[in-house]
Amino acid sequence: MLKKILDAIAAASQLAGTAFPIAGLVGQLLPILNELVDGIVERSKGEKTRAEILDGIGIKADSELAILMASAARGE
Amino acid sequence: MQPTKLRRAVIAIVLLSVMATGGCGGLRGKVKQDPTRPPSLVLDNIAVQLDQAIDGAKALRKVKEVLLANGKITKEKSHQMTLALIKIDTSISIAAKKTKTYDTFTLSARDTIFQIFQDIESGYRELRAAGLVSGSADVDRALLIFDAALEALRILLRPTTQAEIQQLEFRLMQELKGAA
Repeated sequence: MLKKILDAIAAASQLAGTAFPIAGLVGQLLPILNELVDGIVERSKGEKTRAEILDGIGIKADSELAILMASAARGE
Repeated sequence: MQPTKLRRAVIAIVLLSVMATGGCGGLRGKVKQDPTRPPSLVLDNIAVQLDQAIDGAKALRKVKEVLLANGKITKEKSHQMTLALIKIDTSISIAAKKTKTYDTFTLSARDTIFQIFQDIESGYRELRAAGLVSGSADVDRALLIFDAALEALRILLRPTTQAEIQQLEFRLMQELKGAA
């Protein structure tokens, strides 16, 4: 996990000087953070109330939207 | 019924039945009843299907990224798909937030959630129009997850009278009892 984060930072640093360096960093790191969250959720899996499921959807959507916004900023 | 619609209907019915009877974690396995709130199987199912939809949208986003990385789609097409996915995810998030405000599935709740659902469907049509169509195992898998969730939500949001809502709650309750 740490290596992935470091690789992401290294890759994003190559975008320095481009129009969207921050978007690049976010775009690189967010999938990793997403994976981390998924892992935590998987390990703590159990029954959830409707409210907890709905709150979880909001968290997932926020994460996805951040990734998509970064893609959109790159014209992708 | 057209083959595509029939396929979707079968997927949705199987999905709802499986969810109710305990397969794949099932409705029982996925929704713990909150003793401080009145029960509503329709709202529980809507929550579960919205969760499936956001997972499906995530799978579609990943597939899009692979297609772009492999040169299977242009940057412009990828951008169109990205905008469609932003619309889809935003609408799913709004639908989830709105659903959380309801304790019971009334006609008013149904109408409000249905309006937001139409935005999800609109985003999905835009995604397909941008070129994300079946053609590989990964794309098909992602489309199936999302398709199934949409079809299940269509069924759950179909009632337009209070009587139909009660019938749906009753039917879901019977399926759940049958699984016990």
